[in-house]
Formats: sequence, structure tokens, C-alpha cells
Amino acid sequence: MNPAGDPVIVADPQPAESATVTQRAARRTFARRVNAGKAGYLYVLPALVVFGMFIAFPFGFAVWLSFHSWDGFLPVSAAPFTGVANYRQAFSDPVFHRALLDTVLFTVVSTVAQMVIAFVLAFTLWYFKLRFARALRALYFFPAVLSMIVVGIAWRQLLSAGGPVDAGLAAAHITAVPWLGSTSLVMWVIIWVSTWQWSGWTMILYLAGMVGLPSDVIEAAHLDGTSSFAMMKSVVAPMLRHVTALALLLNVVGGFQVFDTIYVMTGGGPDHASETLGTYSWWVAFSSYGPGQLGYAATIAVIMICVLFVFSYFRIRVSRLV
Amino acid sequence: MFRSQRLPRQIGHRDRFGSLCKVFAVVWAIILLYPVLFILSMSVSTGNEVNNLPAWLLPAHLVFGNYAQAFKFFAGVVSIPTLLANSGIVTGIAIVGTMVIAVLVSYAFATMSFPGKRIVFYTILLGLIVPIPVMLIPEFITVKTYGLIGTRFSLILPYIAFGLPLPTLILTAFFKELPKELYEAAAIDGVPQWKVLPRIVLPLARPAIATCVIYLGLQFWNEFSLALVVIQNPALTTVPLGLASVQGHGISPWQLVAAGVVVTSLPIVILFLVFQRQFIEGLMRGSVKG
Repeated sequence: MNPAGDPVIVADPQPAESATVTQRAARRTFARRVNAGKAGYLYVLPALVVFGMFIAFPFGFAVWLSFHSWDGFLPVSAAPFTGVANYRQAFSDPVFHRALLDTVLFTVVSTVAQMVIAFVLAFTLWYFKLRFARALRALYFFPAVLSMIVVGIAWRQLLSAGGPVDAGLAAAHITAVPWLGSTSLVMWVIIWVSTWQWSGWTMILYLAGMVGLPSDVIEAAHLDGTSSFAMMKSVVAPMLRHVTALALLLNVVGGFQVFDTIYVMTGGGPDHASETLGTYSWWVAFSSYGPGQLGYAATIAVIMICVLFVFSYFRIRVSRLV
Repeated sequence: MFRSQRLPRQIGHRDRFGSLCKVFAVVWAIILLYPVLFILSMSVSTGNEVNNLPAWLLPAHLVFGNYAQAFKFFAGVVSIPTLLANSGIVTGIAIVGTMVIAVLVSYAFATMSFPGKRIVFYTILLGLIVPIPVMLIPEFITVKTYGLIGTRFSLILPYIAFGLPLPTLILTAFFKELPKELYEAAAIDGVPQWKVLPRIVLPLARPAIATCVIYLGLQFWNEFSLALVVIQNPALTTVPLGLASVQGHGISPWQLVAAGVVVTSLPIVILFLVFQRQFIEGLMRGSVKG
């Protein structure tokens, strides 16, 4: 079983073949290419079917539904056409505004925080060659294998009134704060929990980039007496700009979809103070306290997808130019 | 000459930024460990103590019976073995489905030419920027329209669709890197076209496939939002959904919820601890390709 070895030897010693044989071979390759072309569609078909049924169709459905009013009980074909009423509702809905702002706040702050922490952790593990680097690397990544529900439950209880965090603060004579009950604090707590869980994932991206850096450049900079801070800021960071671009894209897309953590920690409360677009569209459609408007919920989804498209498009164009 | 004069001073000079980094690395490790220890300590606390654990987390009495009780308590809603089995079945089938489809489509992208290839490729990659929680409501209505509610396929099929883009990206890059001679050699050796993929290419792709499986496994095992809206039959509840519904039941006996959290997290945590090098290095390889 060595398909790679034999033919090279066979092909080399016979460079001069008669014209007819070459022509016949060329015709055969051409025929094979056409065949392969047809086969190509066969290989692509399952992916296209699944994509069409479960991503393209729902998206089209959402766009259609965003121009209709539907409560989920009537047959969907009987849903009345309402034009841009849903979009108008979104632009005058204070909770939607709040959710949009909170989504942007969450995405921006948690992306920046995660990328800074991830970069410093990766640099520390890689540059200083710590003794327990491998164990630390595993520990930093560990929260990413847990479900966001588990992480949410843990932090919710940690921060509950009379919980360990409050007890620790009391020991230091600091008055406790209602972490999840305060409308001004709650979003920051959510940002923290998400940063806690996902920094290690981004760290892996940076570590992969750092391991691939040319060691002679690093060595030379080191011998030149470059301080470790300058090494990080002026040597490593610029060389990993492509990793930063990728991490930025992934983190923003990830940040925009925040749902599980909020659902389990606050349910979007108190008083919609930790509502993001994801949780708000769920609330509008499904919550027993919500209005049960699936058309409006679909509108919010369409707006989110448009924002993601526009961002990703520019992000990808910009990072290609760099 | 100049360099060698400066060198000793730099080495002798205390690297303050370096120490700062190392301190941060240790502090971050503690910050990560603390909530994990907290869950463990809740799971062995008494019902009275669980809501008032001290900052150093050690309960006065250790109650390991919580674990036995958690099995019973969870059984009131859903039993823990059922949760694990449901998540296992859904994750397993979705991984196999995604990988089969992703291998086929990537092989076509990497080795065949046909009109419309680029469009199809970018269309599938579009899925990378539309995550499940964003598509939640449309996805629910779609799954309902297809009549899949009440079956496991209401999770499995959407998971396959949303799982596809990344493995497709990784595998296409991998297949493209394989030497062209490999395919030519196979053709000359008389291996039929359709056998090249399973016989010759797939065995070589094992590391790339492992990376994809790890990535998909984490994603599917922990997926919550779609399960929340499409699973209406308690018998089909998956782990994250079960945990969320148990902790939502009014006054939760937190020591039992914590025990349940520990038990249901164990499979993936053990897998991670045993294969942590493969986990992390696989994802590192994947990220370089991506």
C-alpha cells in the first residue's frame, strides 16, 4: 500500500512518449475533469441542502416574518402583513434601544478585556518559559470547556447576598453591593463573567501565533537588550496583527450572540437592565411575561444579522488590506 | 562590542514588567480556580450552610450524600443519566453528521473545479457569522414548520448546519496542502476516483479531523439556547437545559444543584483533563489554519 511512491519512478524515466499517447492522455484528463465537475456537485449537495434548510430558509422566513404580525398561534400563512410596522416599533421601543446599547457595550468591553488578558497570558506563558506553563495553559483554557449555564450558576451564587464574595468584602470592611440586583452594575457583572470564561480561548489563538514566530528575530531583539515590555509591545504584538484581526472578528461575533450567561444569571433583569438583543428577542417571542410577538422578535433577529454582516464585511476587508 | 557591553546590565536589571506578568498569571489562575472550588464546596455543604459559605469556601460539615440525593432530586424534573444520555446522543450524531458533510464538501472545494464553486464556498462560510442565538426565533419556527418538534432532529439538524462552516474551513485548507502527486499517484495506481477520499485522503487527515471533532463536541455538548426553545418534551432534555431548569425552580436546594452540576460536567472535564494536550494543541493547529 504505497500509492505515493511507485508512479514517480514510473513517470520519470519515460519523458519521450509518442504524440498519440500524449493526446490520448490529454483527452482522458479532460474527460476526467468534466466527470469530476459533475461529481463536485454531488459532494457539495448535502452541505447545500442542510445549509438551505436550516440557515437560508430560516433567514428568509425571518425577513418575511419581520413584515408581518404573528403571535405564533394562528397558522403563519394567516399572519397579517403589516409593512414596516415592526421596524418602526423597534426604533421607538426604549427596551430595544437599551438592549442594543447593552449589546454594543458588552461586545466592545468584553472583546477588549478578553483580548488584552489573553495576549498578556499568552505572552507570559510563551516568553518567560514558566515552569508550569503547560498546566497553567490547561487551567486558563479550562472554563471554555464548561457550559455557560454552569459558569452562570457558579457566579450567580458566588455573588448572591451573603455569598462568599460578600463575606470576603465584609471581612475587608467593605459594604456589599447587590451585584445582580443593581441596574447600573449588572451589565458589568455579565461582562466580567464572560471575560472570566472566554479569555483562555482567545489565549489559545495568540499562543498558536507566538509559537509560530521566527525565533531568530525574537532572539536578536532579546540580545539587543529589548526589555520584555518593549518585546511584547513593539516586537510580538505587531507581528501578530493577523491573529488580533481574527480574534477581534470571532470575539465580536461571539459577543453579539451573548445569551446563555444572561438567561441563567439574570433573565435580562432587573427591569431589562441586562437585556441584550439576543435575550430581548427571546423575551418578546417566548417569555411568559413577554408580549409573544414572533413577528417583532424576527425583526430584532434580522436587525442583528444585518449588523453582524456589515461588521464582518468591513472587518474582513480591512484586515485583508493590512 | 557595544552589544556585549550592554548585555550584562540588561540581564542584571530586574525585569519589573516580567514580574508583573508572572504575578498576573498566578492571580488569574486563582481567579479561575475560585469559582470551581466554590461549586465543589457547595456540592458537599449542608442545606443551611450552602447559602452562607465563608470566603475561604470550606464548609463546617462535609456531606457527600448530596450526590446520591442529587440523583433523586433531579429525577423529579429529569434524571441525571437521561440528561447525559440525551446530550451524548445529540452531540454524537451531530458530530458524525457534520463531519461527513464537511469532509465531502471540503474535498470538493480543495480538489475539484466546477462552476459556482467560489459562491458555494463563501455561502457556507457565511454561517460563521450567524451564530445560533441570533437565529433563535427563525430557527424555532423553521424546525416547527418541518414538523421536527418533539424529536431529537430538532437539535441535531440545526447543529449540523451551524457546525459546518468551521470544519469546512479547516479541512479545505488541509486538503489543499496535500501534495498534488498524491492524487495523480492514486489515479495512475488505478484507484477509482470515488475511493481516493476514503482510502487515501481521510487517513492522512486524522489530526485535522480530531481538531474539528473537539471543536464541535464542545459546541454541541454545551449548546443551550436552541435546546431551550425547541425541546418541549422533558424526556429529550439535554444537560445545559436540565441544569438551567432545575436552578430556576423557585427555592433551589443549591447543594443538590451544585452536585448535579459537578456530575453532569464530569464527562467533558475528564475528557479535557485526559486529552488536554490534544485539545489545546488541536485548537492551536486549527486557529493557524483559520
